[in-house]
Amino acid sequence: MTEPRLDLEALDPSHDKARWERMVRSVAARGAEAAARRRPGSLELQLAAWLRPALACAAAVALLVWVPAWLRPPQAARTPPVAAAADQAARLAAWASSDEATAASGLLLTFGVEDDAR
Amino acid sequence: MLEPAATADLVQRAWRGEPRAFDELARAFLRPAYSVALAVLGRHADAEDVAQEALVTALGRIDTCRHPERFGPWLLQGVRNRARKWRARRRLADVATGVADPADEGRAGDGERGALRRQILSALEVVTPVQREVVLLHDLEGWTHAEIAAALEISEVGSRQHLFNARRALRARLGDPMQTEETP
Repeated sequence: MTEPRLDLEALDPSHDKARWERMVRSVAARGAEAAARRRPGSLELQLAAWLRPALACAAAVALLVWVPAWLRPPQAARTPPVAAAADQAARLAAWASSDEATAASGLLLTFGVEDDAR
Repeated sequence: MLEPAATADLVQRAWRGEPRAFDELARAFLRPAYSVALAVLGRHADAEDVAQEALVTALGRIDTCRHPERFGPWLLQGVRNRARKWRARRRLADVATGVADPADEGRAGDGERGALRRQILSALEVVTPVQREVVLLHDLEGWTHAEIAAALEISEVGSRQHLFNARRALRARLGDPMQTEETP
């Protein structure tokens, strides 16, 4: 079973030697560059590998910090202890300077109830 | 074609990032990649593009080549797949642009050589894809039947049979000018 060889030289892609050489070098360089990007030691790959877990951790920390703070009632709504004490002092001063007797209910409201509410 | 042991050595050196290994692999496999792409696509320019891109991809992902001694078949399978996708896209483009004959490429300005190339490419359309690969790898690349059989995952007898049938069909289509020498 023999059949003479065909002359396919017209299809030879390396007919233009200089062009072919440029093509080979370009392919080798691009291939090496792509392989270097995938190599475990490469900085880019390591950064890419750590990026997702790092973002997940940052998101978890942010949730832990912000959610409780967001659920807690705002601090400004409470009466500050210093302001409450100043209020009591002002009332006592008003009673002392007036001639009227102080009612028990007034005392309770001033000292007892406000202290419990705080 | 490189011996499997030499190929394995180059692939392992490429794994370690030796630039020289990439150069030698490109030098050894760009032509066979071109032949396989040409067998699928039938156009010189398309085959060049596909061969280059497939080889760049294979070299870039060389760490995924699990059997370094079989880099050749692994690469050529990638070339074949890429060429088939390219051909499918090209058919759609050809329909859109009204290109009818795949061997119509480069009609102007490439002289006698271009005319002969078109003639051969047109003739190659009459043989099966595997026959095209065998005849191109054997008669253009100078591969042996053992090398072709390993790369195409067929038997050596099958390779011989495909070559015989392809040559006969091509010669019937092209005539005597294609004949150069007697080979088994």
